[in-house]
Amino acid sequence: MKGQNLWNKKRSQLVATILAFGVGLMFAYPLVWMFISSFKPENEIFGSFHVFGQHHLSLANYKRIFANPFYVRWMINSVIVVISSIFIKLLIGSLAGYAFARMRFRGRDSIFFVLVLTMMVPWQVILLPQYYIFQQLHLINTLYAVILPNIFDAFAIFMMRQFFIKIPLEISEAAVLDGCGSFMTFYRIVLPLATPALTALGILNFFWIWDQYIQPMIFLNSTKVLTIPVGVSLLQAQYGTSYGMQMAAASLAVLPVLVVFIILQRKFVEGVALTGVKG
Amino acid sequence: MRVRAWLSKQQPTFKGRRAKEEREAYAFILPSLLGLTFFVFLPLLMTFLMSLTKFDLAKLSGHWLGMVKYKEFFSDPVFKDSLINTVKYCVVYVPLTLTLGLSMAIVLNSKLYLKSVIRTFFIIPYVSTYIASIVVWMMLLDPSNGPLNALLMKFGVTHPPLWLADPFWSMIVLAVIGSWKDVGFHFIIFLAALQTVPKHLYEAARLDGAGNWKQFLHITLPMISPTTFMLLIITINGGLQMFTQSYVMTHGGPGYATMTLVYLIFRSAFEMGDFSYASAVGVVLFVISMLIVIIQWKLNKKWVSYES
Repeated sequence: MKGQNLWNKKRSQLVATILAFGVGLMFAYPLVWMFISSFKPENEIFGSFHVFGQHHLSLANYKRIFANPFYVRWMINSVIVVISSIFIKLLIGSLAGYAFARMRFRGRDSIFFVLVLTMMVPWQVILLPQYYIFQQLHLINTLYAVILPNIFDAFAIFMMRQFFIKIPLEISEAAVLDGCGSFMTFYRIVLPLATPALTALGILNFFWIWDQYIQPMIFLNSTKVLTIPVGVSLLQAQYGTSYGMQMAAASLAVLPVLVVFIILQRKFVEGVALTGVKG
Repeated sequence: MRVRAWLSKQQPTFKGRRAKEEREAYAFILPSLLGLTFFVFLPLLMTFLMSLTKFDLAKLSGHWLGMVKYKEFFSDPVFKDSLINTVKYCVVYVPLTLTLGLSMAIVLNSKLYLKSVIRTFFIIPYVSTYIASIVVWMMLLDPSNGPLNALLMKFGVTHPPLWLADPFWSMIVLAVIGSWKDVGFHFIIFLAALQTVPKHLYEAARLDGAGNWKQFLHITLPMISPTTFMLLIITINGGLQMFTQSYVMTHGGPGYATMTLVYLIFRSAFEMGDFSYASAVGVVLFVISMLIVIIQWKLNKKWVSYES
Protein backbone atom coordinates (compact mmCIF):
# COMPACT_ATOMS: atom_id res chain seq x y z
CA MET A 1 0.00 0.00 0.00
CA LYS A 2 2.73 2.39 0.98
CA GLY A 3 4.83 1.43 -2.02
CA GLN A 4 1.83 2.06 -4.26
CA ASN A 5 1.42 5.51 -2.76
CA LEU A 6 5.07 6.36 -3.27
CA TRP A 7 4.89 5.16 -6.85
CA ASN A 8 1.85 7.36 -7.46
CA LYS A 9 3.68 10.32 -6.03
CA LYS A 10 6.72 9.67 -8.21
CA ARG A 11 4.55 9.27 -11.26
CA SER A 12 2.70 12.54 -10.76
CA GLN A 13 6.03 14.23 -10.13
CA LEU A 14 7.29 12.84 -13.41
CA VAL A 15 4.20 14.02 -15.30
CA ALA A 16 4.53 17.48 -13.76
CA THR A 17 8.19 17.57 -14.74
CA ILE A 18 7.44 16.66 -18.35
CA LEU A 19 4.70 19.30 -18.55
CA ALA A 20 6.84 22.01 -16.97
CA PHE A 21 9.77 21.06 -19.16
CA GLY A 22 7.59 21.32 -22.26
CA VAL A 23 6.25 24.71 -21.28
CA GLY A 24 9.77 25.88 -20.44
CA LEU A 25 11.07 24.71 -23.77
CA MET A 26 8.25 26.54 -25.55
CA PHE A 27 9.21 29.58 -23.54
CA ALA A 28 12.83 29.51 -24.58
CA TYR A 29 11.89 28.35 -28.06
CA PRO A 30 12.25 31.69 -29.93
CA LEU A 31 15.83 31.94 -28.75
CA VAL A 32 16.63 28.32 -29.56
CA TRP A 33 15.15 28.92 -33.01
CA MET A 34 17.33 32.00 -33.36
CA PHE A 35 20.54 30.11 -32.57
CA ILE A 36 19.77 27.23 -34.91
CA SER A 37 18.58 29.51 -37.71
CA SER A 38 21.76 31.52 -37.52
CA PHE A 39 23.62 28.48 -38.88
CA LYS A 40 21.17 27.86 -41.73
CA PRO A 41 21.24 29.16 -45.28
CA GLU A 42 18.52 31.68 -46.16
CA ASN A 43 16.15 29.35 -47.96
CA GLU A 44 15.92 26.91 -45.05
CA ILE A 45 15.03 29.36 -42.29
CA PHE A 46 11.45 30.21 -43.02
CA GLY A 47 8.48 27.96 -42.90
CA SER A 48 10.07 25.46 -40.53
CA PHE A 49 8.91 25.65 -36.98
CA HIS A 50 11.02 22.73 -35.89
CA VAL A 51 14.70 23.35 -35.45
CA PHE A 52 16.34 20.01 -36.11
CA GLY A 53 16.39 17.84 -39.19
CA GLN A 54 18.16 17.75 -42.49
CA HIS A 55 19.74 21.14 -42.69
CA HIS A 56 22.94 22.47 -44.12
CA LEU A 57 24.38 24.11 -41.08
CA SER A 58 27.37 26.37 -41.58
CA LEU A 59 29.16 29.39 -40.18
CA ALA A 60 28.56 31.38 -43.35
CA ASN A 61 26.23 33.91 -41.70
CA TYR A 62 28.74 34.54 -38.94
CA LYS A 63 31.54 35.05 -41.43
CA ARG A 64 29.46 37.72 -43.12
CA ILE A 65 28.67 39.38 -39.80
CA PHE A 66 32.33 39.65 -38.91
CA ALA A 67 33.00 41.04 -42.35
CA ASN A 68 30.87 44.00 -41.26
CA PRO A 69 33.46 46.54 -40.10
CA PHE A 70 31.28 47.79 -37.24
CA TYR A 71 30.01 44.71 -35.45
CA VAL A 72 33.12 44.09 -33.34
CA ARG A 73 33.35 47.81 -32.63
CA TRP A 74 29.75 47.77 -31.25
CA MET A 75 30.61 44.83 -29.04
CA ILE A 76 33.61 46.71 -27.65
CA ASN A 77 31.46 49.83 -27.13
CA SER A 78 28.88 47.80 -25.22
CA VAL A 79 31.55 46.23 -23.06
CA ILE A 80 33.04 49.66 -22.30
CA VAL A 81 29.64 51.08 -21.38
CA VAL A 82 28.65 48.11 -19.23
CA ILE A 83 31.94 47.74 -17.34
CA SER A 84 32.54 51.42 -16.65
CA SER A 85 28.90 52.08 -15.73
CA ILE A 86 28.82 49.21 -13.24
CA PHE A 87 32.20 49.97 -11.73
CA ILE A 88 31.58 53.68 -11.10
CA LYS A 89 27.96 53.13 -10.10
CA LEU A 90 28.91 50.59 -7.44
CA LEU A 91 31.70 52.81 -6.10
CA ILE A 92 29.58 55.96 -5.88
CA GLY A 93 26.50 54.08 -4.74
CA SER A 94 28.25 52.21 -1.95
CA LEU A 95 29.96 55.38 -0.72
CA ALA A 96 26.60 57.13 -0.40
CA GLY A 97 24.88 54.00 0.89
CA TYR A 98 27.48 53.68 3.63
CA ALA A 99 27.12 57.32 4.65
CA PHE A 100 23.33 57.02 4.84
CA ALA A 101 23.53 53.77 6.79
CA ARG A 102 26.35 54.40 9.20
CA MET A 103 27.45 58.01 9.49
CA ARG A 104 25.84 60.79 11.47
CA PHE A 105 25.17 64.08 9.75
CA ARG A 106 22.50 66.73 9.66
CA GLY A 107 19.68 66.18 7.17
CA ARG A 108 20.66 62.56 6.61
CA ASP A 109 17.19 61.06 6.47
CA SER A 110 15.58 63.87 4.50
CA ILE A 111 18.36 63.86 1.90
CA PHE A 112 18.04 60.09 1.61
CA PHE A 113 14.29 60.36 1.15
CA VAL A 114 14.67 62.91 -1.64
CA LEU A 115 17.25 60.75 -3.42
CA VAL A 116 15.04 57.67 -3.16
CA LEU A 117 12.21 59.68 -4.72
CA THR A 118 14.21 59.77 -7.96
CA MET A 119 13.52 56.04 -8.30
CA MET A 120 9.89 56.94 -8.97
CA VAL A 121 10.64 59.21 -11.93
CA PRO A 122 10.11 57.39 -15.23
CA TRP A 123 13.41 57.94 -16.97
CA GLN A 124 11.76 58.46 -20.36
CA VAL A 125 10.35 61.71 -18.96
CA ILE A 126 13.82 63.22 -18.44
CA LEU A 127 15.37 61.91 -21.64
CA LEU A 128 14.85 65.07 -23.71
CA PRO A 129 16.45 67.48 -21.20
CA GLN A 130 19.28 64.99 -20.78
CA TYR A 131 19.72 65.06 -24.53
CA TYR A 132 19.79 68.82 -24.37
CA ILE A 133 22.35 68.87 -21.54
CA PHE A 134 24.62 66.47 -23.39
CA GLN A 135 24.33 68.59 -26.50
CA GLN A 136 25.50 71.62 -24.54
CA LEU A 137 28.39 69.61 -23.14
CA HIS A 138 29.28 68.27 -26.60
CA LEU A 139 28.82 64.73 -25.37
CA ILE A 140 26.21 63.63 -27.89
CA ASN A 141 27.63 60.83 -29.99
CA THR A 142 30.10 59.82 -27.29
CA LEU A 143 29.78 56.89 -24.92
CA TYR A 144 29.89 59.33 -21.98
CA ALA A 145 26.31 60.32 -22.78
CA VAL A 146 25.21 56.73 -22.20
CA ILE A 147 27.48 56.07 -19.20
CA LEU A 148 26.87 59.25 -17.18
CA PRO A 149 23.13 58.83 -16.49
CA ASN A 150 23.79 55.19 -15.65
CA ILE A 151 26.26 55.79 -12.84
CA PHE A 152 24.03 57.95 -10.66
CA ASP A 153 21.46 55.48 -9.46
CA ALA A 154 19.29 55.90 -6.38
CA PHE A 155 18.44 52.21 -6.53
CA ALA A 156 22.10 51.24 -6.03
CA ILE A 157 22.38 53.67 -3.11
CA PHE A 158 19.21 52.26 -1.60
CA MET A 159 20.32 48.63 -1.92
CA MET A 160 23.77 49.34 -0.50
CA ARG A 161 22.30 51.25 2.44
CA GLN A 162 20.00 48.34 3.23
CA PHE A 163 23.02 46.06 3.20
CA PHE A 164 25.30 48.25 5.32
CA ILE A 165 22.61 48.71 7.96
CA LYS A 166 22.78 44.99 8.67
CA ILE A 167 26.54 44.90 9.23
CA PRO A 168 27.23 44.80 12.99
CA LEU A 169 28.03 48.26 14.30
CA GLU A 170 31.03 47.06 16.31
CA ILE A 171 33.01 46.22 13.22
CA SER A 172 33.17 49.70 11.80
CA GLU A 173 33.29 51.38 15.20
CA ALA A 174 36.30 49.37 16.26
CA ALA A 175 38.09 50.55 13.16
CA VAL A 176 37.15 54.17 13.82
CA LEU A 177 38.44 53.94 17.40
CA ASP A 178 41.63 52.45 16.08
CA GLY A 179 42.14 55.76 14.34
CA CYS A 180 41.05 54.77 10.87
CA GLY A 181 39.45 57.67 9.02
CA SER A 182 35.98 57.21 7.59
CA PHE A 183 37.28 56.47 4.14
CA MET A 184 39.85 53.95 5.35
CA THR A 185 37.20 52.23 7.46
CA PHE A 186 34.93 52.11 4.47
CA TYR A 187 37.56 50.97 2.01
CA ARG A 188 39.48 48.50 4.17
CA ILE A 189 36.79 47.02 6.37
CA VAL A 190 33.24 47.69 5.22
CA LEU A 191 33.63 47.36 1.47
CA PRO A 192 35.16 43.86 1.57
CA LEU A 193 32.23 42.75 3.74
CA ALA A 194 29.85 44.07 1.11
CA THR A 195 31.13 41.77 -1.64
CA PRO A 196 27.88 39.73 -1.82
CA ALA A 197 25.74 42.85 -2.26
CA LEU A 198 28.17 44.36 -4.76
CA THR A 199 28.22 41.13 -6.77
CA ALA A 200 24.43 40.88 -6.85
CA LEU A 201 24.02 44.50 -7.92
CA GLY A 202 26.83 44.20 -10.44
CA ILE A 203 25.32 41.13 -12.11
CA LEU A 204 21.84 42.66 -12.32
CA ASN A 205 23.23 45.83 -13.81
CA PHE A 206 25.23 43.85 -16.32
CA PHE A 207 22.01 42.53 -17.85
CA TRP A 208 20.11 45.79 -17.52
CA ILE A 209 22.80 47.97 -19.06
CA TRP A 210 23.71 45.49 -21.82
CA ASP A 211 20.04 45.58 -22.80
CA GLN A 212 19.69 49.38 -22.88
CA TYR A 213 18.25 50.52 -26.16
CA ILE A 214 16.51 53.90 -26.04
CA GLN A 215 19.32 55.91 -24.44
CA PRO A 216 22.06 54.83 -26.87
CA MET A 217 19.58 55.08 -29.73
CA ILE A 218 18.92 58.73 -28.89
CA PHE A 219 22.33 59.84 -27.60
CA LEU A 220 24.46 58.13 -30.25
CA ASN A 221 24.04 58.60 -33.96
CA SER A 222 27.14 57.78 -35.93
CA THR A 223 27.48 54.12 -36.84
CA LYS A 224 30.90 53.74 -35.24
CA VAL A 225 29.91 54.60 -31.68
CA LEU A 226 26.72 52.53 -31.36
CA THR A 227 26.23 49.85 -28.73
CA ILE A 228 25.20 46.33 -29.67
CA PRO A 229 21.38 46.57 -29.31
CA VAL A 230 21.20 49.67 -31.50
CA GLY A 231 23.60 48.05 -33.94
CA VAL A 232 21.48 44.92 -34.17
CA SER A 233 18.34 46.93 -34.90
CA LEU A 234 20.29 48.89 -37.51
CA LEU A 235 21.37 45.64 -39.18
CA GLN A 236 17.83 44.37 -38.99
CA ALA A 237 16.74 47.35 -41.06
CA GLN A 238 19.75 47.13 -43.38
CA TYR A 239 19.75 43.41 -44.04
CA GLY A 240 16.04 43.41 -44.82
CA THR A 241 15.48 39.92 -46.08
CA SER A 242 18.88 38.47 -45.17
CA TYR A 243 17.31 36.56 -42.32
CA GLY A 244 20.26 34.29 -41.66
CA MET A 245 22.48 37.29 -41.05
CA GLN A 246 19.88 38.92 -38.82
CA MET A 247 19.78 35.76 -36.76
CA ALA A 248 23.56 35.58 -36.54
CA ALA A 249 23.76 39.23 -35.48
CA ALA A 250 21.07 38.65 -32.85
CA SER A 251 22.68 35.43 -31.59
CA LEU A 252 26.02 37.14 -31.12
CA ALA A 253 24.32 39.93 -29.16
CA VAL A 254 22.74 37.39 -26.80
CA LEU A 255 25.78 35.15 -26.45
CA PRO A 256 27.74 37.21 -23.86
CA VAL A 257 24.74 37.64 -21.55
CA LEU A 258 23.80 34.01 -21.90
CA VAL A 259 27.29 32.85 -20.95
CA VAL A 260 27.36 35.17 -17.95
CA PHE A 261 23.87 34.04 -16.96
CA ILE A 262 24.70 30.36 -17.11
CA ILE A 263 27.89 30.81 -15.09
CA LEU A 264 26.39 33.14 -12.47
CA GLN A 265 22.80 31.89 -12.50
CA ARG A 266 22.55 31.28 -8.77
CA LYS A 267 23.94 34.71 -7.90
CA PHE A 268 21.63 36.34 -10.46
CA VAL A 269 18.53 34.70 -9.02
CA GLU A 270 19.59 35.72 -5.51
CA GLY A 271 20.14 39.27 -6.74
CA VAL A 272 16.70 39.56 -8.33
CA ALA A 273 15.08 38.05 -5.24
CA LEU A 274 16.92 40.67 -3.19
CA THR A 275 15.43 43.52 -5.21
CA GLY A 276 12.01 42.06 -4.44
CA VAL A 277 12.54 42.75 -0.77
CA LYS A 278 12.57 46.50 -1.33
CA GLY A 279 8.80 46.88 -1.45
CA MET B 1 34.94 61.50 39.64
CA ARG B 2 37.69 60.10 37.60
CA VAL B 3 35.26 59.10 34.90
CA ARG B 4 33.82 62.58 34.67
CA ALA B 5 37.27 64.10 34.47
CA TRP B 6 38.13 61.68 31.74
CA LEU B 7 34.91 62.48 29.90
CA SER B 8 35.47 66.24 30.09
CA LYS B 9 38.92 65.72 28.65
CA GLN B 10 37.47 63.62 25.89
CA GLN B 11 34.63 66.01 25.11
CA PRO B 12 36.39 68.36 22.67
CA THR B 13 37.89 65.52 20.66
CA PHE B 14 34.50 63.83 20.62
CA LYS B 15 32.89 66.97 19.25
CA GLY B 16 35.73 67.34 16.82
CA ARG B 17 35.24 63.80 15.73
CA ARG B 18 31.53 64.40 15.15
CA ALA B 19 32.28 67.45 13.01
CA LYS B 20 34.86 65.49 11.07
CA GLU B 21 32.46 62.61 10.55
CA GLU B 22 29.87 65.02 9.27
CA ARG B 23 32.29 66.56 6.77
CA GLU B 24 33.34 63.13 5.61
CA ALA B 25 29.75 61.99 5.26
CA TYR B 26 28.95 64.91 3.02
CA ALA B 27 32.00 64.04 0.94
CA PHE B 28 30.70 60.47 0.67
CA ILE B 29 27.28 61.50 -0.63
CA LEU B 30 28.49 64.43 -2.72
CA PRO B 31 29.04 62.54 -6.01
CA SER B 32 25.57 60.97 -5.85
CA LEU B 33 23.95 64.21 -4.80
CA LEU B 34 25.56 66.21 -7.61
CA GLY B 35 24.96 63.50 -10.20
CA LEU B 36 21.31 62.96 -9.37
CA THR B 37 20.71 66.71 -9.19
CA PHE B 38 22.30 67.23 -12.58
CA PHE B 39 20.91 64.19 -14.37
CA VAL B 40 17.50 63.72 -12.71
CA PHE B 41 16.23 66.75 -10.78
CA LEU B 42 17.45 69.38 -13.22
CA PRO B 43 16.08 67.50 -16.29
CA LEU B 44 12.77 67.00 -14.49
CA LEU B 45 12.52 70.72 -13.86
CA MET B 46 13.51 71.35 -17.48
CA THR B 47 10.77 69.03 -18.73
CA PHE B 48 8.18 71.15 -16.95
CA LEU B 49 9.72 74.38 -18.22
CA MET B 50 10.13 73.13 -21.78
CA SER B 51 6.48 72.12 -21.89
CA LEU B 52 5.52 75.71 -21.11
CA THR B 53 7.88 77.45 -23.52
CA LYS B 54 8.73 77.37 -27.18
CA PHE B 55 12.31 76.28 -27.03
CA ASP B 56 14.87 76.43 -29.81
CA LEU B 57 17.54 73.83 -29.17
CA ALA B 58 20.02 75.26 -31.62
CA LYS B 59 19.72 78.91 -30.63
CA LEU B 60 19.31 78.29 -26.92
CA SER B 61 16.41 80.71 -26.82
CA GLY B 62 12.73 80.46 -26.12
CA HIS B 63 9.58 82.34 -25.38
CA TRP B 64 6.73 81.67 -23.03
CA LEU B 65 3.83 79.54 -24.26
CA GLY B 66 1.88 78.81 -21.12
CA MET B 67 -0.60 75.99 -21.40
CA VAL B 68 -0.78 76.07 -25.21
CA LYS B 69 0.82 72.64 -25.66
CA TYR B 70 -1.46 71.10 -23.06
CA LYS B 71 -4.48 72.43 -24.90
CA GLU B 72 -3.19 70.76 -28.05
CA PHE B 73 -3.87 67.40 -26.44
CA PHE B 74 -7.59 67.89 -26.95
CA SER B 75 -7.28 68.52 -30.66
CA ASP B 76 -4.58 65.88 -31.32
CA PRO B 77 -6.14 62.49 -32.17
CA VAL B 78 -2.70 60.82 -31.90
CA PHE B 79 -2.47 61.84 -28.24
CA LYS B 80 -5.82 60.26 -27.53
CA ASP B 81 -4.75 57.12 -29.40
CA SER B 82 -1.46 56.93 -27.51
CA LEU B 83 -3.21 57.24 -24.18
CA ILE B 84 -5.80 54.56 -25.04
CA ASN B 85 -3.16 52.26 -26.54
CA THR B 86 -0.96 52.58 -23.47
CA VAL B 87 -3.91 51.59 -21.29
CA LYS B 88 -4.75 48.75 -23.69
CA TYR B 89 -1.20 47.48 -23.46
CA CYS B 90 -1.35 47.55 -19.66
CA VAL B 91 -4.70 45.76 -19.60
CA VAL B 92 -3.12 42.77 -21.35
CA TYR B 93 0.43 43.02 -20.11
CA VAL B 94 -0.09 43.53 -16.38
CA PRO B 95 -2.48 40.63 -15.54
CA LEU B 96 -0.74 38.31 -17.98
CA THR B 97 2.71 38.91 -16.54
CA LEU B 98 1.54 38.60 -12.94
CA THR B 99 -0.51 35.42 -13.37
CA LEU B 100 2.10 33.80 -15.60
CA GLY B 101 4.89 34.68 -13.17
CA LEU B 102 2.96 33.36 -10.20
CA SER B 103 1.94 30.15 -11.99
CA MET B 104 5.52 29.47 -13.04
CA ALA B 105 6.71 30.09 -9.49
CA ILE B 106 4.07 27.74 -8.05
CA VAL B 107 5.07 25.00 -10.48
CA LEU B 108 8.75 25.34 -9.60
CA ASN B 109 7.94 25.48 -5.91
CA SER B 110 6.41 22.00 -6.06
CA LYS B 111 8.30 18.73 -6.27
CA LEU B 112 9.85 18.35 -9.72
CA TYR B 113 12.82 16.79 -11.41
CA LEU B 114 15.20 18.92 -13.50
CA LYS B 115 14.27 22.02 -11.54
CA SER B 116 17.34 24.05 -12.45
CA VAL B 117 16.94 23.32 -16.18
CA ILE B 118 13.30 24.38 -16.17
CA ARG B 119 14.17 27.47 -14.15
CA THR B 120 16.81 28.40 -16.72
CA PHE B 121 14.25 28.10 -19.53
CA PHE B 122 11.88 30.40 -17.67
CA ILE B 123 14.48 33.09 -17.05
CA ILE B 124 16.26 33.06 -20.41
CA PRO B 125 13.96 35.60 -22.15
CA TYR B 126 14.46 38.03 -19.27
CA VAL B 127 18.25 38.01 -19.48
CA SER B 128 18.50 37.88 -23.27
CA THR B 129 19.13 41.06 -25.22
CA TYR B 130 15.65 42.37 -25.96
CA ILE B 131 16.41 43.68 -29.42
CA ALA B 132 17.68 40.26 -30.44
CA SER B 133 14.46 38.63 -29.24
CA ILE B 134 12.43 41.26 -31.04
CA VAL B 135 14.19 40.50 -34.33
CA VAL B 136 13.37 36.81 -33.83
CA TRP B 137 9.73 37.49 -32.96
CA MET B 138 9.33 39.61 -36.08
CA MET B 139 10.40 36.64 -38.15
CA LEU B 140 8.30 34.12 -36.23
CA LEU B 141 5.27 36.36 -36.72
CA ASP B 142 5.85 37.15 -40.38
CA PRO B 143 2.31 36.81 -41.80
CA SER B 144 3.21 35.38 -45.20
CA ASN B 145 6.01 32.92 -44.56
CA GLY B 146 6.73 33.00 -40.83
CA PRO B 147 6.78 29.66 -38.98
CA LEU B 148 3.81 30.52 -36.75
CA ASN B 149 1.39 31.07 -39.58
CA ALA B 150 2.85 28.12 -41.46
CA LEU B 151 1.96 26.00 -38.45
CA LEU B 152 -1.53 27.49 -38.18
CA MET B 153 -2.15 26.81 -41.85
CA LYS B 154 -1.02 23.22 -41.37
CA PHE B 155 -3.74 22.91 -38.74
CA GLY B 156 -6.33 24.17 -41.19
CA VAL B 157 -6.50 27.88 -40.38
CA THR B 158 -6.94 29.26 -43.87
CA HIS B 159 -6.60 32.93 -43.03
CA PRO B 160 -4.29 33.28 -40.06
CA PRO B 161 -4.07 36.78 -38.53
CA LEU B 162 -1.60 39.26 -39.93
CA TRP B 163 -0.39 39.76 -36.35
CA LEU B 164 1.77 42.90 -36.32
CA ALA B 165 0.08 44.29 -39.41
CA ASP B 166 -3.39 43.82 -37.95
CA PRO B 167 -4.83 46.83 -36.06
CA PHE B 168 -6.61 44.54 -33.59
CA TRP B 169 -3.87 42.00 -32.95
CA SER B 170 -0.78 44.22 -33.05
CA MET B 171 -1.08 45.68 -29.55
CA ILE B 172 -2.03 42.33 -28.06
CA VAL B 173 0.98 40.68 -29.69
CA LEU B 174 3.29 43.41 -28.37
CA ALA B 175 1.85 42.92 -24.88
CA VAL B 176 2.36 39.16 -25.05
CA ILE B 177 5.95 39.67 -26.18
CA GLY B 178 6.45 42.20 -23.37
CA SER B 179 5.16 39.65 -20.86
CA TRP B 180 7.31 36.92 -22.34
CA LYS B 181 10.35 39.12 -21.92
CA ASP B 182 9.68 40.36 -18.37
CA VAL B 183 7.98 37.44 -16.66
CA GLY B 184 11.30 35.85 -15.64
CA PHE B 185 11.76 38.70 -13.17
CA HIS B 186 8.30 38.18 -11.68
CA PHE B 187 8.85 34.45 -11.56
CA ILE B 188 12.05 34.76 -9.51
CA ILE B 189 10.51 37.19 -7.04
CA PHE B 190 7.31 35.17 -6.64
CA LEU B 191 9.37 32.02 -6.12
CA ALA B 192 11.40 33.74 -3.40
CA ALA B 193 8.16 34.90 -1.77
CA LEU B 194 6.59 31.43 -1.93
CA GLN B 195 9.61 29.96 -0.20
CA THR B 196 9.10 32.26 2.77
CA VAL B 197 5.57 30.98 3.44
CA PRO B 198 5.83 28.78 6.56
CA LYS B 199 5.22 25.12 5.74
CA HIS B 200 3.27 24.47 8.94
CA LEU B 201 0.42 26.66 7.71
CA TYR B 202 -0.19 24.25 4.83
CA GLU B 203 0.05 21.23 7.12
CA ALA B 204 -2.52 22.72 9.46
CA ALA B 205 -4.83 23.50 6.55
CA ARG B 206 -4.48 19.97 5.20
CA LEU B 207 -5.44 18.56 8.58
CA ASP B 208 -8.53 20.77 8.44
CA GLY B 209 -9.35 19.21 5.09
CA ALA B 210 -8.55 22.18 2.85
CA GLY B 211 -7.79 21.23 -0.75
CA ASN B 212 -5.05 22.69 -2.95
CA TRP B 213 -7.23 25.49 -4.27
CA LYS B 214 -8.42 26.48 -0.81
CA GLN B 215 -4.85 26.44 0.46
CA PHE B 216 -3.79 28.68 -2.39
CA LEU B 217 -6.65 31.08 -1.79
CA HIS B 218 -6.45 31.28 1.97
CA ILE B 219 -2.75 30.80 2.67
CA THR B 220 -0.57 31.44 -0.37
CA LEU B 221 -2.27 34.53 -1.77
CA PRO B 222 -2.54 36.43 1.53
CA MET B 223 1.00 35.48 2.56
CA ILE B 224 2.58 36.74 -0.65
CA SER B 225 0.32 39.79 -0.99
CA PRO B 226 3.08 42.33 -0.18
CA THR B 227 5.17 40.88 -3.01
CA THR B 228 2.20 40.79 -5.38
CA PHE B 229 1.39 44.37 -4.60
CA MET B 230 4.95 45.57 -5.16
CA LEU B 231 5.14 43.65 -8.45
CA LEU B 232 1.78 45.10 -9.50
CA ILE B 233 3.13 48.62 -9.13
CA ILE B 234 6.39 47.79 -10.93
CA THR B 235 4.46 46.11 -13.74
CA ILE B 236 1.98 48.95 -14.23
CA ASN B 237 4.84 51.43 -14.37
CA GLY B 238 6.68 49.20 -16.83
CA GLY B 239 3.56 48.95 -18.98
CA LEU B 240 3.13 52.72 -19.01
CA GLN B 241 6.67 53.05 -20.34
CA MET B 242 6.32 50.69 -23.29
CA PHE B 243 8.25 51.87 -26.31
CA THR B 244 10.87 49.49 -27.67
CA GLN B 245 8.56 46.85 -29.16
CA SER B 246 6.35 49.31 -30.96
CA TYR B 247 9.29 51.39 -32.17
CA VAL B 248 11.20 48.45 -33.63
CA MET B 249 8.40 46.07 -34.59
CA THR B 250 5.52 48.24 -35.78
CA HIS B 251 6.73 51.88 -35.86
CA GLY B 252 3.60 52.69 -33.91
CA GLY B 253 1.41 51.20 -36.64
CA PRO B 254 -0.56 49.99 -38.39
CA GLY B 255 -1.93 53.52 -38.46
CA TYR B 256 -1.45 54.59 -34.86
CA ALA B 257 -2.58 51.26 -33.42
CA THR B 258 0.58 50.78 -31.34
CA MET B 259 1.51 54.41 -30.70
CA THR B 260 2.18 54.78 -26.96
CA LEU B 261 2.86 57.75 -24.70
CA VAL B 262 6.63 57.21 -24.66
CA TYR B 263 6.61 56.71 -28.42
CA LEU B 264 4.71 59.98 -28.75
CA ILE B 265 7.40 61.75 -26.70
CA PHE B 266 10.04 60.32 -29.01
CA ARG B 267 8.11 61.05 -32.18
CA SER B 268 7.19 64.63 -31.25
CA ALA B 269 10.76 65.46 -30.28
CA PHE B 270 12.91 63.67 -32.82
CA GLU B 271 10.62 63.22 -35.79
CA MET B 272 8.51 66.38 -35.58
CA GLY B 273 11.04 68.61 -33.80
CA ASP B 274 8.44 69.82 -31.29
CA PHE B 275 10.26 69.56 -27.97
CA SER B 276 7.58 71.57 -26.16
CA TYR B 277 4.83 69.15 -27.09
CA ALA B 278 7.08 66.17 -26.35
CA SER B 279 7.81 67.61 -22.91
CA ALA B 280 4.11 68.16 -22.26
CA VAL B 281 3.47 64.48 -23.00
CA GLY B 282 6.37 63.70 -20.66
CA VAL B 283 4.68 65.71 -17.91
CA VAL B 284 1.48 63.71 -18.46
CA LEU B 285 3.43 60.46 -18.10
CA PHE B 286 5.14 61.79 -14.99
CA VAL B 287 1.83 62.81 -13.41
CA ILE B 288 0.26 59.40 -14.13
CA SER B 289 3.26 57.60 -12.62
CA MET B 290 3.16 59.80 -9.52
CA LEU B 291 -0.56 59.15 -9.13
CA ILE B 292 0.13 55.44 -9.12
CA VAL B 293 2.85 55.84 -6.51
CA ILE B 294 0.48 57.85 -4.32
CA ILE B 295 -2.31 55.31 -4.76
CA GLN B 296 0.21 52.64 -3.83
CA TRP B 297 1.06 54.42 -0.58
CA LYS B 298 -2.58 54.94 0.29
CA LEU B 299 -3.71 51.42 -0.52
CA ASN B 300 -0.68 49.59 0.80
CA LYS B 301 -2.02 49.42 4.33
CA LYS B 302 -5.55 48.57 3.28
CA TRP B 303 -5.01 45.73 0.86
CA VAL B 304 -1.89 44.02 1.93
CA SER B 305 -1.95 41.74 4.90
CA TYR B 306 1.42 41.62 6.60
CA GLU B 307 2.45 38.86 8.93
CA SER B 308 2.45 40.27 12.43
